[in-house]
Amino acid sequence: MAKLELKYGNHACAEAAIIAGCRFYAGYPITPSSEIAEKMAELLPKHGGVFIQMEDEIAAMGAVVGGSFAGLKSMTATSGPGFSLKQENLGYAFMVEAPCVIVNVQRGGPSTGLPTQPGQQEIMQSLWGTHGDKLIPVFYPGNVQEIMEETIRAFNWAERLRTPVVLLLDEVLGHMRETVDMAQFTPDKVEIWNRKMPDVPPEEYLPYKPGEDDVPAIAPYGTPGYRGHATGLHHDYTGFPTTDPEMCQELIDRLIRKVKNRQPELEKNEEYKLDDAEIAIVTFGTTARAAKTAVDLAREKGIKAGLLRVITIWPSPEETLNKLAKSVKAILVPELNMGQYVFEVERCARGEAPVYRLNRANGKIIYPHEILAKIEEIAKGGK
Amino acid sequence: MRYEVRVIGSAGQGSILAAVVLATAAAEEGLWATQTATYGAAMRSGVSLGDVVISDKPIDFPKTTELDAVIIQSQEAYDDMIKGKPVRLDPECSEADADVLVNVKPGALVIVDEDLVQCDLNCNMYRVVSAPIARTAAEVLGRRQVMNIVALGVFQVATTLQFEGKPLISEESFLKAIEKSVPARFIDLNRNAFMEGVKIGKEALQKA
Amino acid sequence: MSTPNIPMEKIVEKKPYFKYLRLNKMPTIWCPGCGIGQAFRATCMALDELGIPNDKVAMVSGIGCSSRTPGYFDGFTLHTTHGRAPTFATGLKLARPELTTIVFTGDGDALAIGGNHFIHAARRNIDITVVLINNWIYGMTGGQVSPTTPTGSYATTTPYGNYEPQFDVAKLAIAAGATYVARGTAYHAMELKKLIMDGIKHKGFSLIEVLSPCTIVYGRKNRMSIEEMYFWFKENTIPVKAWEKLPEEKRAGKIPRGVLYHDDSRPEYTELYWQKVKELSGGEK
Repeated sequence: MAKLELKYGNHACAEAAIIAGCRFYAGYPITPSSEIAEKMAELLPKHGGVFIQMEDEIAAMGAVVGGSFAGLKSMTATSGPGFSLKQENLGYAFMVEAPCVIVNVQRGGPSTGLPTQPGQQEIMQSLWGTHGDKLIPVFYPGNVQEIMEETIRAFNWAERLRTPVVLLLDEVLGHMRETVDMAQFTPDKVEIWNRKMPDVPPEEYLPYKPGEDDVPAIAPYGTPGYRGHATGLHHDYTGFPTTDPEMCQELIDRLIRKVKNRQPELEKNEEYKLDDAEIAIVTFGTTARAAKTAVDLAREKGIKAGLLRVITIWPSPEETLNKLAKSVKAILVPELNMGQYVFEVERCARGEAPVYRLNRANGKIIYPHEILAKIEEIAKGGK
Repeated sequence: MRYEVRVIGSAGQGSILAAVVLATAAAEEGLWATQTATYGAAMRSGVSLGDVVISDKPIDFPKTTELDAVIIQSQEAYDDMIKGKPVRLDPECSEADADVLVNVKPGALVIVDEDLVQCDLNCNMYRVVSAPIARTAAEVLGRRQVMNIVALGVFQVATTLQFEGKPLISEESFLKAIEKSVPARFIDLNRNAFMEGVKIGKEALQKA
Repeated sequence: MSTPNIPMEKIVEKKPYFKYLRLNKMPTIWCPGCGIGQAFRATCMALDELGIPNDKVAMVSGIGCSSRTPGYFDGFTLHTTHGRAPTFATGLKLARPELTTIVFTGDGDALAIGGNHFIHAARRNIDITVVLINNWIYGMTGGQVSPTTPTGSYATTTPYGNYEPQFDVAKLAIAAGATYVARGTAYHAMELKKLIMDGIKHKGFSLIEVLSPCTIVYGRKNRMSIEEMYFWFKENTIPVKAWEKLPEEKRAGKIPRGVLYHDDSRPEYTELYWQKVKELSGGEK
């Protein structure tokens, strides 16, 4: 039976993290994410976990990797400019394979931009922000119930693949109260994954030797006998720096492959009225909610519209997008930015259908009637 | 069913808290709800508002677009809301104001404080319910601050005008929501405030 | 890579602190005459004398010559990003308070790019021992000026001499809230061991500044030989007790060494935190 409760978006994220087993949070205040830190400051000590507010965003990301290496499920939350500051240590976390979750509650940018208003301008930064090559899972829920589900899923994949996972929210989602069915989050309903532990005796232990799943079993620091080294330099199975070209290429290949190979399992979308759709909308987060209403409004007017709401933003649902492009006459990508995910949609569409944009970066959300107007324009053959 | 409510008043009148209590009550009633507020520069100075969308199924678009009810707590808010430029009633309203100024549906409930708001609305277009909300808070409960919760009581009763004699949300759900939303030491005061609101709400409906 | 062909037990019998070394990762990357090895040896000897087993030590570093130390240390070691070691160490220590946590860092790492993290770790008085190798230069990147490069000396980015003033590391740490602050040199090896040992024993944030010669980069730029650099430390540093007795005019150009500040009265951060957790959660972890 459903157990409906009203939850504040950012608080729901914190509560779900606790359910997922998060026991370490390091953060730095930034609008519109601060309520996640505030809730964690209240909850973690009661659950025997660590909360610390660090001196800056960079420090928060560093402490998170420290907590993760100690064996605790670790997390931080931030927004645009803070996410930029975290990039160096996010790259480090990817390189040393420290499981952790980074929440980015998107606001309007660039720079200080529109700190109290929503944006979807981190779509590209969430994947490409750090230096060097990287592939990490990026999830973007669309309502408060899903914030809880995706927070738990983010922790699960972070632990299973030993990788940072980015959870994108936006100001509307973070600062909104919405009904959540808490019956879905009882211990018997929630699946929790934990990172694997080494299954060899200490003398045979090589922290960075991957298993068949491409994931190494690094023991938490402090585990007797299982001492090890981690470095941001290219490294061999012992974790020690190497410049051997074969070893270096193998490392980067594996780091990317371990996420890329899981794309089918990671993929998560919501499909709405796509079966007979002629115009498909591809979007995510708050904008997808306006799009869903717009689909209904368009159908009332006799236009066959449908929606693909992407939840796993990266790695992108390449094949699904390609198939979609083959099955419709046009695709529309509305985003609260000046055009980001549209590039990925265009790439995956491979020319099978024209891809249209609806962009905005002024702090205002896109309303259903605006998407409807664009759909009508496309249906009439305009742009 | 999609039902949109706005609570609007001068800053400090607890409009957002009232919206939170209302959304919580909807959840208690087994309905889905979203509650949003407008922050920062988008807000007009001095006016504060909380929006609630209620539905019998999960909600797609979480913000308000066409109000089924509006609770107006001050003249300033009234001027903004009704005499101002609701987006689709006045073509001169700029797109930028769309977050704050939304359409009020014909037949919508308009709940106003009879002492604080001079209401000259066309009663054929809206269901106007005028009650001594702030006065009841000050004189009966001794705390003017609880006028927002008194207003919710009036709203609870007034929704019977829209749902064939039944309220949208029961008294019990509101009382439970109050318990969940206000600090423990203020629960009794706020429950009483709500019940006084119900009382003056009923009187206002009889008068009308 | 050459590994000495002597059985480990034989070595450890003679030099018990060798048990902290990853001998298969030797030789180190450090230049001949570099003082980092002295500080590393002093640290290992201090740990040995304190009887702390390998499984109870974490060593964290950032970027630079000194930050390569954890690679050679057989414990739980993290070689992190430039200047950020105190942040990773803070996370690790908070989550695993039972680990003796040592940060190896340098003057550029800790005082320029990582200055903010360094002062805040000190302010919190978290039980981390920072061994700061102060060699007055960025060695690994080829000899650029650092916040502790002496005024007037040469670096690749101060070809006409350095006109910036130096940071006083110890004063900075004391002002920021560190509760154990000491200064040693690579020349005074046994004294350095004692200073590090007391730093590790101290419950709270400890800083041991190690004046150390960068023989190849700083030495060459400033025309000082290895011998001259070591003798410079011998001639220009004096024990803090003697220094305190010196009249002001005779202090010029001299550097005090030894324990400069020690305060056992301030509470330690991880203890305070876990005490609060115990109260709130009833000890559940």
